[in-house]
Parts: sequence; C-alpha cells; structure tokens
Amino acid sequence: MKLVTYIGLVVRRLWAKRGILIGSLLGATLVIALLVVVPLYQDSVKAVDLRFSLQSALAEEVDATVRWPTETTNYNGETAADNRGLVLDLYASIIAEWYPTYVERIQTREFVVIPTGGAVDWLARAEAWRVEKAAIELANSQLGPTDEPQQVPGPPYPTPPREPLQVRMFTSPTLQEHLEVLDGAWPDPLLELPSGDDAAPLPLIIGEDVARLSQLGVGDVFILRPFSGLPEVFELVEIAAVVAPVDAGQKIWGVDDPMTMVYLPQETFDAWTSPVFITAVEDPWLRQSRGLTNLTATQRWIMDFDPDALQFEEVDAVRGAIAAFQAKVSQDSGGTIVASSLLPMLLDEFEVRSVTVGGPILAILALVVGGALYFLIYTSALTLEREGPEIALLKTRGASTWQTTGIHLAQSAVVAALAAVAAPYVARLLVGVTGRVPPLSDLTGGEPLQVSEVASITPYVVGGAIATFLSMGLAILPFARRPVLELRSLAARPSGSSVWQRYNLDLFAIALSIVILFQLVQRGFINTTGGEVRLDALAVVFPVLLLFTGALVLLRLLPWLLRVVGWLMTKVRGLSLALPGWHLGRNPVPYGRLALLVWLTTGLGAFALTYAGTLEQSFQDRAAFVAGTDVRIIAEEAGYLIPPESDSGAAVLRTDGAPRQSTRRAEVLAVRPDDFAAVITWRSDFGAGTPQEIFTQLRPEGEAPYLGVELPGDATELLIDGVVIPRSWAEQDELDTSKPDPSLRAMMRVFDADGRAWTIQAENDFVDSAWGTVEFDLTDGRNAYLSDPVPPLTVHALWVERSNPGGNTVLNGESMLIRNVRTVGETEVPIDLGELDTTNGLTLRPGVPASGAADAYYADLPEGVEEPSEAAIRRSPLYAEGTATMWVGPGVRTNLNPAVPALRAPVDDLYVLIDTEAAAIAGLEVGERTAFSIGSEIYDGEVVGFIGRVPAMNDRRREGRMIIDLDGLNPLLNGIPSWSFQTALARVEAPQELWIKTDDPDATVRLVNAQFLPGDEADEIVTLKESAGEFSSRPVQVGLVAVLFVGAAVSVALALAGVTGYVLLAVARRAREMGVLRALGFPRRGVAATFTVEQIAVLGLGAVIGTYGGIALMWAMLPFLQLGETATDIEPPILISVNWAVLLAYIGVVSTLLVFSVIWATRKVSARRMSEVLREVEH
Amino acid sequence: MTRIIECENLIKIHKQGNLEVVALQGLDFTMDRGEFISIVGKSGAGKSTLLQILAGLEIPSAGRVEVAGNDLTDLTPNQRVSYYRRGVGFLWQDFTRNLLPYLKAIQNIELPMLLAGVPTRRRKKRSLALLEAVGLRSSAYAKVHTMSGGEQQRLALCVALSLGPHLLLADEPTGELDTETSLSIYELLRRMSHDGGLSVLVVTHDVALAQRTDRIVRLADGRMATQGRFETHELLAVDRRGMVQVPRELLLEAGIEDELTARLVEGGILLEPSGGEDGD
Repeated sequence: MKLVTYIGLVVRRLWAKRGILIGSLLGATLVIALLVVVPLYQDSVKAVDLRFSLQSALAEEVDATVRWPTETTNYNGETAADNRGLVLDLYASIIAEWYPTYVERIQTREFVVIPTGGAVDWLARAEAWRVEKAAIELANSQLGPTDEPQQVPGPPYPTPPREPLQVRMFTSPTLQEHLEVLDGAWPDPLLELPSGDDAAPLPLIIGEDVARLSQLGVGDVFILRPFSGLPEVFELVEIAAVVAPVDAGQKIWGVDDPMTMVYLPQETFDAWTSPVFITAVEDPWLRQSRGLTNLTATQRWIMDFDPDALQFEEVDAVRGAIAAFQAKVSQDSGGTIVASSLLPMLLDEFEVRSVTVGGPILAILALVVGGALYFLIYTSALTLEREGPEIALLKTRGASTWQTTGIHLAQSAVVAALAAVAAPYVARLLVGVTGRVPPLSDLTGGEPLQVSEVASITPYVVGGAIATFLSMGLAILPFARRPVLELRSLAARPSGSSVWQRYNLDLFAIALSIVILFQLVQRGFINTTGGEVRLDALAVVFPVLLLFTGALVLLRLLPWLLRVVGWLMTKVRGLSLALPGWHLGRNPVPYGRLALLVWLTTGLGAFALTYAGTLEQSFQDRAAFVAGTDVRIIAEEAGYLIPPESDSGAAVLRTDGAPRQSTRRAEVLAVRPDDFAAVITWRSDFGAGTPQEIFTQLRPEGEAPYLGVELPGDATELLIDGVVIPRSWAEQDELDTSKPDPSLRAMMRVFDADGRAWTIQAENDFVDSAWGTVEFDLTDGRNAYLSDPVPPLTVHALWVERSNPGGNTVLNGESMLIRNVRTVGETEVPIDLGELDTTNGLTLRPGVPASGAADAYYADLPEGVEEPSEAAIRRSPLYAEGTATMWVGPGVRTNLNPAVPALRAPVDDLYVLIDTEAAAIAGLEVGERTAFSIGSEIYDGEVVGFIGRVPAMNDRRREGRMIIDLDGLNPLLNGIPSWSFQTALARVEAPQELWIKTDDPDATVRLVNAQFLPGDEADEIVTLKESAGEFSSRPVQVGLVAVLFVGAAVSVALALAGVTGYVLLAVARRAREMGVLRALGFPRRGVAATFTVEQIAVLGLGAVIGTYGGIALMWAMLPFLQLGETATDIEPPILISVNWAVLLAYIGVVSTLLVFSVIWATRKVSARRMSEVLREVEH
Repeated sequence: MTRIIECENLIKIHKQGNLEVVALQGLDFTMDRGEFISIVGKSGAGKSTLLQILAGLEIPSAGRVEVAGNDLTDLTPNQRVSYYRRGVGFLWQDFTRNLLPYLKAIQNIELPMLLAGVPTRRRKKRSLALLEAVGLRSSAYAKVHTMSGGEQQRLALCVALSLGPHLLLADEPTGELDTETSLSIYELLRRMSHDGGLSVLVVTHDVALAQRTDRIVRLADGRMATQGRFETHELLAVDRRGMVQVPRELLLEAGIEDELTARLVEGGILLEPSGGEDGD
C-alpha cells in the first residue's frame, strides 16, 4: 500500500513538473532512440548499400557459373545430360532462392568457315580427286603383274583461306526462346547422325553477323572445320536459318557476341558431337558416318543472381550457400564440374566497407548519444537546482536521504521506462525518414528507408534506458545529501566548481585519451587480423573521449577566457556591456555548463559540416588524382594529337624504369615541364612548390634539351651535294655484276615542332658516277603520323646506307664527299651540320679537295686506257672544284649491327625527378649521376630533384615514381639512326597520352577524337568529370553524412532547450540583482539587455571554441576516412576541408536561434513585476 | 513545568567568504513545554539563526542547545531525520514553501506521515482531524493553489503538526497575511498551545502579534535583551546608534502620528506628539 502511495506521489510529481519532465522524457527517448538507431540505421544503410552494390554490379560479378570443360574429345550428349541432372538438382536445393533463373549453354571452341565456292572449290576438287582416284584405281586394276601400280594421291582436305572467318558452335536448351529466325526455318532436331554417301549436308543455324561476314545465306553450303585438329575432321553444312536475338538489348546466355555464333538444336548438337571414327585412307568426303569429333565443348550454366532476392539479413546465408554449392558440385561430379561465383568476393568487399565506413557512423552516433546524455545530466541538474526548496521541504518534513533519493530515482525510472517504450518507434521513424530526405533519397527513390533489423535492438534499448536512468537519477545523489538550508538557497545561488575539476577527472580523461590515441596509432583503427576486418572498439570511443576531454580542459580555461572577455566588455562604453562584463569577469565559473553545451552543439555541427566537406573534397581529389587533368586521351601517339586552341595540352610518355637498374620498377612519365605544369591538377601537399617550380627542375639550364640543327621554318627541302668516292676505273672494270651497287641512300632523322621524330629518306641516292644533289623532302617522312611534319624541323641525325645491299652488309668502308648543305624554301639557306657529332666509326674530314672522287676514279686506269688529260678529268661528272667534306665510313656494317655510323646531335644526359622513397632505396641524392633504366634502355642521368605524389601516377604494381623531360628522352628513344631495312625504321616511341586542361571537356574530347583516322579511336579517354562520377559517395557514406546532419540538428535542438532552461534559471537566481538594477532606475529593457549580452558573450565564446573543437575532432577521425572503403589507404591522402562559408552560415543560424532563446528567456523573467522580483529578493 | 528548550551560551558564527558574522553571542534561553513564545528583534538580531538552530537546520558554533531531550549539537543524520519527524514542526513565512503545490490539501498533510511510515488509515484520520481543528475540513481535497493565503498557512500548520511534534517553530508565519488572518492564525496557535499542550515558538517583527503570546523574548545583537509581557509600559530596545523603534500601537495610543517631540525629564525621556507642552 505504501508503495502505491509512493508511486502516486511520484506520478503526481511527474505530472506537476510535466513541462520539465516532458523535456527529460524527450531527451531520454532521443538518447535511447539514437542508441537503437545505431544497429537499425547501420543495418538499414548497409542494406541500401548492399542493394546498390548488387544492382550496380556487373552480371559477371554476381552470377554463379557452373562449368564442365572438356579438354579433349569427351563431350557427348549422355554425359551432358548427366551433368545437367546433377547441377540442376543441386542448384534447386541450394541456391535457387537467390538465383531464380538460369541458362545453360554449350559452346565449342572456334571453327573456321571454309566456303565451297570461293577461291578454291573444294567440292569440285574433291570430285576431281575422286575421278582421278577412280581412274588410277581402274588403271591399276588393269596392270600386269610386273607393272608398277600407280599411286593414288591423298584426298584434298579443305584448308582455310588466308583470313578465315572463325565461329563457335553453340547450343542451349533455351535456344529458340532467345533467337528469332530472320531467314529460313528452324531445322528439326536430328536425333541421329545421318549416314550414307548421299547424306545431305547438316542443317545449321547461323547468327546474322556470320551471315554478313561470310556473305552466305539460307541454302548455301560451306565447310566447317575445327580451328585445330586432324585434317580429315571437317563437315559440310547447309544454312537452314539466319537468326538474331529476340531482344537485341539483352545479353543472352552471358555471351558477348551471340551473332558471331553458329547454332544447332541441342539434340542435334549432342548427336553430332558423338565420336566418329574416321581413317585417313577413306574418302573423307564420302564417310559412312557424319559429325565432328575431337570437339572441345564446354557445358556451362549461368545462374542469374537476383539482387532483390537477397535480403541484407541473408548475406552470410548466401555466402554459405554458394560455398556449399561449389563444394557439392565438385564433390558429386568427381571434380570435373566447377562452380564459381564472384559474389562472395563482392560481399567481402561490402563487409569491409561496412566496417571502415560504418566505424565513423558508430563513433559519431556515440558522440551524439554522449551529447544527449550530457544534455540529460545537464537538465537533471538544472531541474534539481530548481527543486532545491522542495527537497528541503521534504527533508524538513522528515524525508530521509534515501527517501528523497528514492522519489527522484523512481521518477527517473518512470521517465526512462516510458522512453524505452517509445524509443524503438522513434528510432524506426528516424531511420525511415532519412530515406525521404537528401542525400539518401537519391538512393531510395524518395521512399522511406526500409528498416532492417538484423541484430536484436533489445540490448540497445536496455542499455539506453539504464544510461538515461543513471544520467537523470544520479544527479540527485549530491543534492539529497545537502543540508536543508543549502538546498533552500540552491535556486538563488550558483553552483561551485564541477565534479570533474574538483577531483581532477578532466586531467584523468586527458591521460586516458593520450593512452588510447597511442594505442590506436600503434595498432591501427581497423584490425585486419585473421583475414577479417574489424573495427577497433577504441576507435569508436576515442572521438567521444577527445571531444569531451577537450571540452573539460576548456572548462578549466573558461574562467580565464571569460575574465578576459569581461574585461574587454568593461572597456566599452555603456552599462549594458559593462555590467555583463563585470559579472563575467567576477564570477565566470557558473557559465561552464552553458558553454559546454554550446561547445558540444557547435562542435558536432562543425564536425558534421567539415566531415561532409572533407569527404566530398576527398572524392574530388581522388577523381582529380586518377584523371590527372581535365581530359586525358590515351592512344598510340596520342601525345601528337592537337588540343583545341582554347585549351592547354601536354604530351606525356608513360613507361617504366628504375634508378641504377634496380629491380624495383618505377612508374615513369616523360613530360615537357612547362606544358605539364600548366595542365596537371595539383594539390599543395603533392610537392614542395608549385608544379611549375617542381617540373622546371628538369631543365636546370632553363632551356629545352639540344636536339640538333634547326632548319628554317619555311624550308621544304634539304639538299646536299655529294658523290660516293668511287673505286678506280681499273677496279671497277674488274668488278663483276654481283658486286653491290655502290649507291648510298641518305637518311635523316629530324624532329618537328611537336617533337615528333621523322625518318626522311632522300629522294635520290649518292652515286659514285657523278656529283649529285641529294634531296630530302621536308614535308613528308616515312612515319605514319596523322599529320605532316610541323616546321621548323631539327636535323638530329644523318646517315647513309647502301641502297641495294644484296645481303646483310649495308656498309663496307664507303666514303663520300659532301658539301653545300642547304634548305630550299622562300630562299635557299646554307645549313651547317658542324654541330653534329660523328658516331659509330664515322669520320668526317672537312676541307678536302672536291676533286677527290674524280681523282680516285682516275687513280688507276684499266690496262690499255690512256690517262685522261686534266681537262678531261675536269669535265668528268665526278669532278668538282673547291673543297668538300669527306664522309669516311667504317668497315663492314651489317643490318644486324644497330650501331649506325652517323652524324648525330650530341645527346644530353637525362635529368630525373624521383620520389624520395625510390631515391632513398637507390641511395641517390640530388645532383648525383647514375644510370637509369627507362623502358628497356639504359641511359645516364642525373637526379635534379625529388617529387612527392603525382596525379595519374597511381600504378600500384610499380614501386616509385620518376619524371623525366620528354624532349630529353625523345632523342634517346627516337633519335638513334637505324637501317632502313629494318622494320624498326619508322617505329617511334611516341607519347601515348595527351593531357588537356579545358573548360569544356565534352567539346575537347569531340575535337580531339575527330583527329583520329576513320576506324581508329582512343584506347581510353579519362576525364575528370567521369572520374568524379566514379568517386561518388557510396550509400553508407551518404548515410553517414545524413546521420551526421541529423545528429547536428538534434544537438541544436538540445542546445536550444538547454540554453533556454539555463538562462531562465540563471535569471531567476539573480532576481536580487535584477531587483536592485530595476530599483536603481534601470529600465526593464536595459535589464534584459544586460543579461542577454552576458549570455551571448558566453555563447559566442562557446561557439568559437566549439567550431574549432569540431574541426579538431575531424582531425581525429581522419584515420578512419583514410582507410577508404576497402581498408587500403586512399590516394591522395585525405586533407581536412573546411567550407568556411557554410560553416559560418551554420554557426550564424545556430547562434541566432540561441540568441533568440536567450532573449526570450531573459524577457520572460525581466517582464515580471518589480514587486514580485523584490519580494523574492526579500527571501 | 518541564523544559522543552534549553540554550546555554549559544554562539553562532556565519562565514561569508572571508568575513565572519557573529549571529548569536552567548545566548541563554529556555522554554517550557506548552509555552507560546514570540521572539522579536530587529534585523540581524539573531532571531532566524536561533530558530534554525532550534529546527536542527544549523549547528551552533559553540554552546549547548537541547530540544525535547535532543542535543542538537550532536545529531547523527538518522537522529536528525527522526528529530524532523517527531521532535519539531516548521512553519515558514512563505507559505508556498510549506506546501507541495501539486498535492491536494489532505495529501500535503499525509506526506510527512507517509515518509514516517504511518499506516494509511491513521494518516487519513489524523489529517482530517487536523483539518477539522483548523477549520479546513471542507477543503480537504482542494488543490493548494485554490486556497487563500490564510487557508494555505493553516494548512501548513496542519502539515507541521501532522506527526504530533513537541515543538512548533514558526518563522514569521503571518508575514504575508493581512491583520485579520494573522490574528486568526495566532489565535489558532494560542489555542493549540494552551489546549493541546503544544510548545510554540514564533519569530515575528509584529509587536502587536507578539503581544498575543505568553512571553516575548527580545533579541539584540545575538543576545537576549529582555523578556516578559508588557501591558502599560513597553520595553524598547536601543541599538548601538541610539535608534529606538516604538511599536505602532503605542504611538497610536499616544496620539503620535508623523512627528513627535522627545523631551528629557527626570529619570527618562518623554515622547509626546508634536505641538505638546512647549516650554515644559
């Protein structure tokens, strides 16, 4: 009975204080709901993520395939039927729930199509052979015993044409469901092999592409022959029908190119592929049995995964079922049939993502719950302070400490119990509603988020109820023990220092945070031991602890800060500022709780905004890092494409290499520094300086590497006068015609303005019969670029070779005289090739008499020839006045010797930028020279600087990064002279990438694509826009951001309630002060203003500190984000991105709301009658 | 007559920051059972401090105080609770502080009994009897806020007496009430004291009301200045600055309104209305 009375008392108290307690009930409900939201929301968002992942996955990533591969000739219909029974039984009993449909396909390896009426009429040839064979056999039958019988020639086996059409043979039980007949008729199944000499060709169905490519139609006959196999294995077929897919847009049987197949009804296929014994001596054209032996066919089932059939709760079940299916199929088939699916891998990735991305959700919800609990404690304490007189009354009426405590605890228990009942519904509502609002609404289609409830929420409800009960209830303990008089004066006297500071718990919390941080740094935020990714529990606790610890530390500092603020305010004229200033400065301690509440609110909001901004910025950074620039065209020689005029372009050659020929291969980009710096997307932490500063280090002298002798821009031809120094007349007379032609072909390697290497062959040769002018056409070369050479050209190398080698020898000690090198354009300009070096045994002797050729010729005359006169020699075409340069070639050079004697521009060493790690491993310092392996070549080079991260250099297979000068590499790669007899002559290592900085990527891509020849296209086009699309938020991340904003909104609501309550209490406490102020003649508004300014000063300080606290918290959470979705480090690393405009707008809105709540609360109290106030003062 | 209160050389020093304020400076005071005493004195004389010490809310800094055999200088928490329940009843000036507004009248009276574990039937019976005694039987189930100030204070009296304490302490119990209501409350207290044997100690500023008690104890500077009843002569306290407070009734009796004349006569000072015997 007493208990009932007590309960009655509690209920009456609750009812009487319903205004305050409804607030507590809401707070408690919110706390429990938020705790319940943890599993619900996580599961629900994960369910959306799973659905999103499954729906956006390619069929190959989720479907299950079962394969019975036949390696030899063991395919037959009987085994296929057995397999079918085995597989489909297991399928139906184990995985059909998630794979509701399946298709079966049987597919052979390639056959070649041999037309019968093409260049070779095989039927006619067979017939002719048959006739010949019959004739021989007849003749042989009529021979006498001593006559030698005539041998019968082998049968003519059909051989494929030069570029035969290849097809695969295909069948499926569902053939007719997916194919429609365009022409002809679906053939009846052939259950037995036709036999007999006159058996008709086998009816075959062909895909429309086969018909188009082979130009065959219904009724046409052709020969099908396995791509490899015995020559006698072929079959004559007749086209019965041409087919096309029923639904052209749908992939059938998981086959990419169904129309390049030939089809047989399944029964025919099984019958046709039964082993047939054929001997070569028989007439393969007139076999007794038909069919295709030695057939390699694969029977395959593709089980179509239905993403909608897999519920989030069934992830483990489906994984287990797939494993069981795979094991059972293998076991029951004796290992001959293999079942596989990539779905478990996808699910594993999903699980990892759930942990890495779900971690912050937990941590943030922990934060929100922590904040809400603090709110509860805060409001409970406020309530109790207001209830001090009542507790005093109870005590003076004989209530013991336990009774006082019990009443309050019972009251808290009722609130907690009510909250526990309501919270799950609120939580489900909250979770559901998030599906209706952006950004999750984009994924749910505006529908409420379907609430998944995998784990029981009961522990969370119970835990939440206990937490709220303790938060509200425990506040009574210090109050219940206080003396009556103290309790009576509580509402009018501010509380002293907090428990935290009194017992130095804040310092303990700091120490604990440091220990946890140390632990986390040591062992990482995510545990990946045992192949399983798990979130470290400390990682969830750490952010909460950090925020609260930070707040507690600041609480210690707050009085000093407030004193400073107060002091500053007193310096301002006007009592409305000076009075609050005095108050703040003299008595700052009581503002701690208010400040803490505001810190937590603004901190969480700032964190939410910073988190969202950082995540978004990271996506953009990652997209930019992958793309490298706005548009990146990748194709053979793409670097030579021309970017639109309004855009900046940079040619980039991508290869690999290593310093000191290390086995660690680094990614290598060869770039032109200025161009590259102008187009690359850059982030300040990628290197120590701007791209311009970093990449121009590649040119220490500030100039482009020396490529050779630059020709005038208008030059269209380069002319060289020259003559091959002939053998003497006597020697020539002795030479037979088999001796090589002494003419020398002149070759030149030039670079055009775009850096393209051109090999130009002279229009005519140097000959040994006369001085001549060798002409190089500078408007074309032997290379197949998309456009002609772009002037001005630079002569990099010049060499000669025999024009008609007649063997491997391309040079053998030939000498020439050359002079008068010049270009022809608008004017004729002499060219000095003196800057070029002689290489590979070539010697130049300048200043020799130009008559040397004639002298050599006439040096030895054939017998009986009269020595010519000087005049006669001068008239000789071999004779020239003046001097010339003698080109003295070395001894024998064959075309197998790549060292071509040539005039060649000296090549600079490579200047290399290398990443610090690769440099450290190779032991390289800036300024150090060493050999570098670039591609397959070794070059000398010098390290000129270090690089950090470089966008688009993200090949995880490579270890390290190097950047070199494209113009420096170009002559090394493409400047080396080569014999024209080698196919490598025109081979150029061209930059494969064109990086373009543009404002209109679509137009740029269109314009650049137009430069490709018809039929050609880029291998790959990477645009920042598309890359950004790939790096968009996953549903879990979207959900995370959503929950953050919900948390921030909740905290703002709590703060508003808390601040209003606090100000009401604070003003009530200071009724005496208000009374005095009013009595002194302060107007009501002035009193209100004084209190408002004071509270706003505290709020403002709290907001500023909270904002930076939130950003600091983001810093603490960075390791979570850095793990990315797959628990591997994100590249480039995530940097905190603070959108100050949005953040300030948020702080502005929150501050405005808080200021209004302060003004409202202050006005409410200041509006009281003065007599009322003064009467309160009295007591 | 047995003593219910015995104070001997009672000293109470309040600390306000670094300042020490001596509220009681060796007060000696006794009270017999069934007595109805009023304590008067100017602000800061130590009236409320004495009351709080007697109520067990404050502990004296020195001296001895015993109430109904309870040594209030040395109470354990349990003894203190017991003292609140059985030893003493309180009546505060602010009647809203005497009552829980969310309880009905009878529930307020039952509350102390509930806390003390009194059975339901006895609680109800006692509550109704008390209400009957103060003339509030018909308002037993009324809500507190619907009752007048006098009714609330009478109800508060019932609450204070619900557990039948030996001593009732009242701090300005009629401070917020009109004269008529105040008189009725005092009459009620007197009746309870004289008829019911309840010891009542009232702190008041109102000398006229104090006159209605058995004994007036005047405190000044933390000590007892005078005690007794005065019918034709009023004993007035002179403070350190020489100020004298004359009761209003005395002034009215003497026809003194706004001004008076103080004249030195043999053996004392004569206070007369202004415009009296000039030159005498």
